[in-house]
Amino acid sequence: MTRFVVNRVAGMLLVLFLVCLFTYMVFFLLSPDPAVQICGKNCTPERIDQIRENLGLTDPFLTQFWNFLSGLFAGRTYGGGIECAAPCLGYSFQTSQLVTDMIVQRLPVTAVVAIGAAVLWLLMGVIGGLLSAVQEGKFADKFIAGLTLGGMSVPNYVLALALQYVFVVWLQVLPFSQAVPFADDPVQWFLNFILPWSVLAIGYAASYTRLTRANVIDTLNENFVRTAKAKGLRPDLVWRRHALRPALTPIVTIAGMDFAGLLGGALITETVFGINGVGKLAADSITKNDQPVIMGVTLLAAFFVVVGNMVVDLLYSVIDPRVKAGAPA
Amino acid sequence: MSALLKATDLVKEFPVAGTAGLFTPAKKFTAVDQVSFELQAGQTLALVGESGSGKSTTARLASRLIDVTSGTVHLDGQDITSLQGADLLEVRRQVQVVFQDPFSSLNPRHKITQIITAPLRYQKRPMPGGARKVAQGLMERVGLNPEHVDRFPSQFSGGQAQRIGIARALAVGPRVLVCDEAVSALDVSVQAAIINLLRDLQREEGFGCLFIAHDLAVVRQIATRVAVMTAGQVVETGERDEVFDHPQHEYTRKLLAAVPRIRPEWEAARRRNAEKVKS
Amino acid sequence: MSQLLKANGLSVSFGAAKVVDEISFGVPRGGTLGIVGESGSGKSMTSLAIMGLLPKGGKREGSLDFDGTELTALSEPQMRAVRGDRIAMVFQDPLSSLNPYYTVGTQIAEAYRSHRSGVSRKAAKQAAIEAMERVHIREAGRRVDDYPHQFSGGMRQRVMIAMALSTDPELIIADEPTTALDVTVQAQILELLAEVQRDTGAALILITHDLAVVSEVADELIVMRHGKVVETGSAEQIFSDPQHSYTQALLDAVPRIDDSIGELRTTGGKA
Repeated sequence: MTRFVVNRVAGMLLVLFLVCLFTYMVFFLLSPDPAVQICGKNCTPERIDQIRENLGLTDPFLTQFWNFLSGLFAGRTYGGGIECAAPCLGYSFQTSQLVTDMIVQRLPVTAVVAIGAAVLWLLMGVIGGLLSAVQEGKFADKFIAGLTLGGMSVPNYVLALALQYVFVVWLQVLPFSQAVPFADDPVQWFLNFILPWSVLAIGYAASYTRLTRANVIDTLNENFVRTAKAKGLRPDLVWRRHALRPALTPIVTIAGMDFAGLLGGALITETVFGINGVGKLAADSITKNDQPVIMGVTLLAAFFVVVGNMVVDLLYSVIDPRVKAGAPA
Repeated sequence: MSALLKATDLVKEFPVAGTAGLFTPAKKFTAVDQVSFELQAGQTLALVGESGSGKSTTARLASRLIDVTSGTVHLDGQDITSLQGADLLEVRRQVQVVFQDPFSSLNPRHKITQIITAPLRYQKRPMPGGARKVAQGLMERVGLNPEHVDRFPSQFSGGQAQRIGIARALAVGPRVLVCDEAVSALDVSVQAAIINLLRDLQREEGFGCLFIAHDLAVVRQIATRVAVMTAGQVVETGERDEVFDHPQHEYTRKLLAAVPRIRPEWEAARRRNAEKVKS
Repeated sequence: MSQLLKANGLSVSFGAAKVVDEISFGVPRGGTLGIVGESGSGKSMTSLAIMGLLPKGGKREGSLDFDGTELTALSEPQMRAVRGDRIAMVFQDPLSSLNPYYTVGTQIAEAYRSHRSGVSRKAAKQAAIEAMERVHIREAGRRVDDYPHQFSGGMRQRVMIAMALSTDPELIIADEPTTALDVTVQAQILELLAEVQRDTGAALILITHDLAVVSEVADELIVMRHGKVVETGSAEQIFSDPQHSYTQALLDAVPRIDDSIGELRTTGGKA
């Protein structure tokens, strides 16, 4: 088990390092001169040179990359005595704020969006899937199949705009979103999040419904379910112990990975609903070509995906006795 | 007489899943360990053993379906161990395989003509009279109705499907036929018919047959020579009757003793009763 | 010997298709009935019909008299009380027949507890260990906490048998119990089934396609084909003097390990 964890952590660090390297390379090669961006209107060639010097842009690629990496762990000091504490992701070209601060400020709201959506889609997916498995071939099954098809084929941004139009503009059952702290007005806070949660959840819920349905139906045809019946077990126990657990285990795995990959979904949803989270930050910084912020958000996303993957792997070895971490059966 | 197919010191190692570290290679599991055998034309060599004995892996190595870790395979005196490309294709023509599950090795969406003549098409070989005619001829040789060449695999029974598999293997006129548990999944009466068919075809065509089986009673009916495998190694090899009647190795004896038999006294009684009816 | 189970005109149909067609047989108390047939003969459906576990859409007709109880007249909860308690079943493929997510001990104890009300978890585990000892699983006290994948094929089948005998059933139905196993393991499992029968006095229905296996185990025999019984009688009678031409053909087709008879006979008479 220890060996397995060590192996996984080492692999994780390697992946993160490569993500760093590639992202940095892309920006180094493709991005227009940041010094010009920072310099703004009243710019002189001398000032541009000064900024280049301060940011270390005149150094060769590897030196720059090394400075970036060491800044992550040990912090760095830019030319001109500007301090940046670890984990240092640099300063935004646009607002001159610390990127780390910008992300940390927005992370809680993104977490609320992601967690709420995950809870919603797991509930919808598992319940819908169970229902259609039990009613296999009957009306409820076909009805749900139709819904999932719709849920899977409508793109996120269309759904977001459509829901907003229907519930906010037309029916007026939900308010226009406005940033309200939870402590001030919990009801308003909750209402604010209903649409973003739903939009994020619906696509996932649809595919989870299908997955759950297929898994449950497959499991019910397993020989060990027949054995359980042959023991004379009550039907509820046959279901609970012998059908549900094997059927739902793979869903845990996928849920972990999808949750980690949510940031991409958050990007669109937060933009549409004007939620000032990490997703919107990423969207804004991309349009403004704010390189340090894009780097920071990308790394954060990669970090979540990689860590999520590892957690799922470890979790899986606990849930499924056949997966003994690191050792073959 | 030089051997048609000769395997010398075959070794196959597989990496054990889940033991690979980031920088350390996976542990190795030796599935086949220093296996040698010779197969003569017109004869049947049976590789027998229990599950995990390495008999199927050995057959796959010898027929170049997988690559050896070490050791050599000679076909007709030619070293085929590491042939590639066109040369390997020629080996494929000479060595054909019939698998255990007849249906899973037949494409359900293809008609029988297509299935049987596939090896000929892949190897761009002439089909005198057209694919249909060739397929009909092969169907007839394996005891199937030649009119059924336009049917799909699902329209045949298990035994018939296995006959189709054999017809496909015979299409290219192989020198070696590898039967990997080819009769194991079949009902006993069908099994008997397929064994008879294989024997008849061998008599007519003179191919060498490498027969992989766990069922010793079947092996007794078809083998010329027998090699007994366990844990990746051949523990005993010899003429069929020699091995069955005078097993030398402890494992062979154990294996033979474990085979269920119809009670001999009942067998004898049945033979007597059958005689009575006849006379 | 009196009969423990009597089937009379038992049929199983799926829609218009009759897969078991009015068959009748008896299982002697403490004895072994062999049901032999090739694939599609309806032998496995017969066992599921006795257990009341037919797949969706299966319809059962006829009578099944189990020690004076008419099984076909029982409600589902009543049948559930019989299933796994008085009639237990051993299936063909022990790996897929055991739930990979639970220890073998849990799965054996589950059978035991569902038929013994008020048994503590601990007592049930003890019963599981005892059952495992009875099927000669070494270090049962330790292995009770292992999962199915940690056992070999033969050991898994021993676990299935332990599960079946944990409730002291009067009848054990074994459906191809050795087909998925290696020949040396097969011999051990057959030996174990015979031993269990000797010790507990349970009757056994052995369903198999393998005539040699059945000749070593069965007292009574029915030969099935296309859902019908073609021949029934004592094993000795059928093996030494088969009356039906299908039985004769089947016996002729069996390859014999002790002699190579040249051409195998696929139909009655020497070819």
